[in-house]
Amino acid sequence: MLPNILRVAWRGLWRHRAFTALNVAGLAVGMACALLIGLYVQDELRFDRYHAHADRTYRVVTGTESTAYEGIAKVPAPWGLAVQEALPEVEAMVRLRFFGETLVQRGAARFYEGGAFTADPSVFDVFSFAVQRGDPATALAEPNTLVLTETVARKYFGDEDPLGQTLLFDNAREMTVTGVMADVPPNSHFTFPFLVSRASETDSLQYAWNRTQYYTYLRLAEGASAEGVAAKIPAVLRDHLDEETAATYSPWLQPLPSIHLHSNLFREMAVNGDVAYVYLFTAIAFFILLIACVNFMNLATARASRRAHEVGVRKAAGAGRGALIRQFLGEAWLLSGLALGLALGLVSLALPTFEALTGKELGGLLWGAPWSLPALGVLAVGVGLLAGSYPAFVLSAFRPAEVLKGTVPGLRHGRLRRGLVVFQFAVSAFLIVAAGVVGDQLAFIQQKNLGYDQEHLVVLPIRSDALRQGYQPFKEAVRAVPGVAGVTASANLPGGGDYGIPIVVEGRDPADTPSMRILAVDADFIETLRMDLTAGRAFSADRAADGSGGAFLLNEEAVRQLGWDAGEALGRTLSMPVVGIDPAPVIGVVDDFHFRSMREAIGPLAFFVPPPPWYAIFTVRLRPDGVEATLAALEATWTQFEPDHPFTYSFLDDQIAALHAADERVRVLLRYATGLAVFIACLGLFGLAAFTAEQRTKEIGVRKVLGASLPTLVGLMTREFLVLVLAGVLIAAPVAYLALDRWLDDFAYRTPLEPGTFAVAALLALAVAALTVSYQSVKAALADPVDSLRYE
Amino acid sequence: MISLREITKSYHHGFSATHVLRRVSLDVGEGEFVTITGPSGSGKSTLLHIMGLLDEPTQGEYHFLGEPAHRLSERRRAALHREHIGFVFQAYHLIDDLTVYENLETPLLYKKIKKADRQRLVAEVLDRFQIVAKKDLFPNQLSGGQQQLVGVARALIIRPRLILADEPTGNLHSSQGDQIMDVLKQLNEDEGVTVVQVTHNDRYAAYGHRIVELLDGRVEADRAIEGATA
Repeated sequence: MLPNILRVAWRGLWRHRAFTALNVAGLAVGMACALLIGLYVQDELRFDRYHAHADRTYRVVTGTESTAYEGIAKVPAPWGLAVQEALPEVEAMVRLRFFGETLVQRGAARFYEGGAFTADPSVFDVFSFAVQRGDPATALAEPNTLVLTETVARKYFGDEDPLGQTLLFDNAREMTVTGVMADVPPNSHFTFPFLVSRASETDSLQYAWNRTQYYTYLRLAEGASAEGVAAKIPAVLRDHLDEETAATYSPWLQPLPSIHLHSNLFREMAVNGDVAYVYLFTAIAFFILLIACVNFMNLATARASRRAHEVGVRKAAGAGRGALIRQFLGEAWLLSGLALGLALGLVSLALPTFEALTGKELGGLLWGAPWSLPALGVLAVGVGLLAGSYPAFVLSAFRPAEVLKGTVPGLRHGRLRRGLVVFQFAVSAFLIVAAGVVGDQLAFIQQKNLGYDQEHLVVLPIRSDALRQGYQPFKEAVRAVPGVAGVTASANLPGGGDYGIPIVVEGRDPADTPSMRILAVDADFIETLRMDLTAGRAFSADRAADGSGGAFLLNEEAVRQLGWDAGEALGRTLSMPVVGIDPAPVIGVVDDFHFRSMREAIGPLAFFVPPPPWYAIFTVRLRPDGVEATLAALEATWTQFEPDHPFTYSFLDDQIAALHAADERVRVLLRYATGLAVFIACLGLFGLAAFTAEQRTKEIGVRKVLGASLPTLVGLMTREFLVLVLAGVLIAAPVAYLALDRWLDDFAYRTPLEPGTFAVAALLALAVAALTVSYQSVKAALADPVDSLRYE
Repeated sequence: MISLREITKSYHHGFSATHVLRRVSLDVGEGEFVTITGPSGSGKSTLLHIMGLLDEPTQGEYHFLGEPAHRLSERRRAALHREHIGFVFQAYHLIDDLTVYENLETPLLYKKIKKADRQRLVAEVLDRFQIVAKKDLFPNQLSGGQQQLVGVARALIIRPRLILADEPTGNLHSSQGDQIMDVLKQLNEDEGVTVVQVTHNDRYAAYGHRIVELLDGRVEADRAIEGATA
């Protein structure tokens, strides 16, 4: 029976090639889209799961008394050791600390390497990184040793064996390579070019109980409960800290595999994913597939009048309903199988672009995973079932006596068919609106006045302690470069670099003090970034008293949260005992400006002028014209001061844009998804219009003979579909409004939902649909009425 | 074999109803060759479809081979139909996408007959109707007469006990029509297959043993043909 069904199905499909092509193309594009999104989602879900003990590895994070964020991803260095010592459930522990951007040199190869970590030797025990050379157990035991990733090893050593060789760090420090490991897999919540041994750390941070600087991971014994361990940590802390300080921390454990999608703490190692987007794209994939399946159902039921005859004949020849259902499902499966083949072709073609777009490596997931073949089979069968079941059950129910007499029961299903078209265009319109609003919001963010002038600001990281100490002469030299409008040194910058340092307000209970963000800047900062003052004055280079923590500036939000007005703030006394800043007066209030992503409301912020060792960055404002020449001149000046450190720079607005990189990615993906959904829906509409035009050939012939004009006829046929599309748009509008309003609410600063966006979406859907349908309408209207009426 | 009691068939359109058959009672015995005649719209085809279990009566009882067909499930009726009844249509009703061979094979597939047996049975009927050369052609490559030969061949390939023919010669010219009628007559006489045909054609009506005349959904007359051997 099966070979027969397939043969018959194949022949029927071949005979109606155009119909088949429409169906297969629609399904294939839908499946390809779903597959790509499926790969994306799969990849998001498999983050960090490649570690052998991922299921019992946890990161220790903590809440602090600061309420500015939910918690911080790092904890003080001694915590890990103390916890491991005190709790037998802890099987292994490793701490990672960012190793600042460093100039690395071997012979002519000389590059800044950022994003590395110092690590305990246990790093290769806790994590399953593939160590290719060296002994993972001892590789990071000694001071001044490091383990390179493969890529970095090749960069400096080419084909030589790096083991035992040295790299020169910051022109001063010889570091010995004690191991080479495979590159960190891209599906990891952190990555690095190399790991430096903990013993190489020269400062005392690793003994500091009050500085949260170490990403700390624990592997628990099998069967140990993470909640149980987390609950015991405060007691461990109380053994080492005074009661009051220990109480300010509220630590918990994050399962390693959940960090990527579920953790959004302060100072994450990299921008994590967002489980909401995983849900969003899963839903989009499902709906696109559904649109493609609806096409299939629609075209198949439209064709039902023709197939009805066959059903009648087969029933007269003894076919039971079951046999017919099997036949139609068999056809659907053949089609979905073909579509799957084509979809896989499309996916292979699109994969490189998609990988670039998402920054993921997905090929292995598609072809390499052991479950991918069965999964694809299930996809084909499922889609075939979804798409083919309606025609199968409707067609198989036809009464042979009726269809063989020539009654066409297919017409009865017009209402359902119209309903399905409405559904398709509701989904399409929803996506169009969503793509529009997401685009609007991101444009809004990018164009929103940040409260300072972010353009033409060049950021130069300070590379040596000599320059840190001697920053004034360098500033003078930069200021003298033609094309430079201003220059400032600071420890950090707007765009996420703000510090969290407890601030004490004189005469106020610490519990009652808002936790403030801190920017440590020099006297030229406010002017160079073009921030405005609400009250008082900015720091002045001429007043020595302003320097080294001698004065504070607050932003308006800080003043508001302290319950003052701008005038009252002036002269109040603040201090930061944690970092040794003594009580000093507030000298000015700065207008609010955005120093974090637009998802966050502007929080309270304080500025102070730090001692020179804090400085890490020069920010230079360029004049808008001759930027290239100015940069060249800056490089010359830099080289004069820093002959041993290559010149590098970045633009602040790029760094700020990077805050919204995840949203930007979503915007692009959404735009593609929308385009494809609309395309597939139009493919279905095109086919449906062809069948309708065919069914109405006689009516059109009669109308033409009676003198109807071409535009009248085209309008007649097109209008009917446009009403359906319009209905779809009207259904989608309120749903889209509610959904997008919620999405926008995630942003502290959001664009209003404009009726214009909805109008544009409606017009777009209508225009595309009209274009699709009009081809068939014009074709039908142009047909010679004599031909269509002759056979009656 | 066929026992119809008070069969009524009506269609409802809103508040009005069209009665196609009104309380028709009719018996057809095994081995009979019955002709049903009557003007257009008198209910001939509907009666034939009900006999063939392709349609259900609105009211009345139908016993086919002693089974109460009016009370059977769709599945059971399909099975009865599949085992015992061959249908021949005026419009041939072959499946356009299938070759002659495959059209003939279709009823056997639904009877779940093994491949070797199917091949043998199809070869037999191809041979019997001398259409072996046409077996790989599609219906639209055949003349009307040839198509109807295939239609008849398909009806009898399952060795039915009853053949129902709905104006089998209606679309054919006379020599083709004669050929088809001869086949039906031969089946009836040589193999004892019961035949019920609907026809407008007086000459072909005379092939049977008995003529049933329908008018407005009622049996107007039911008479044996003179000289018939029944």
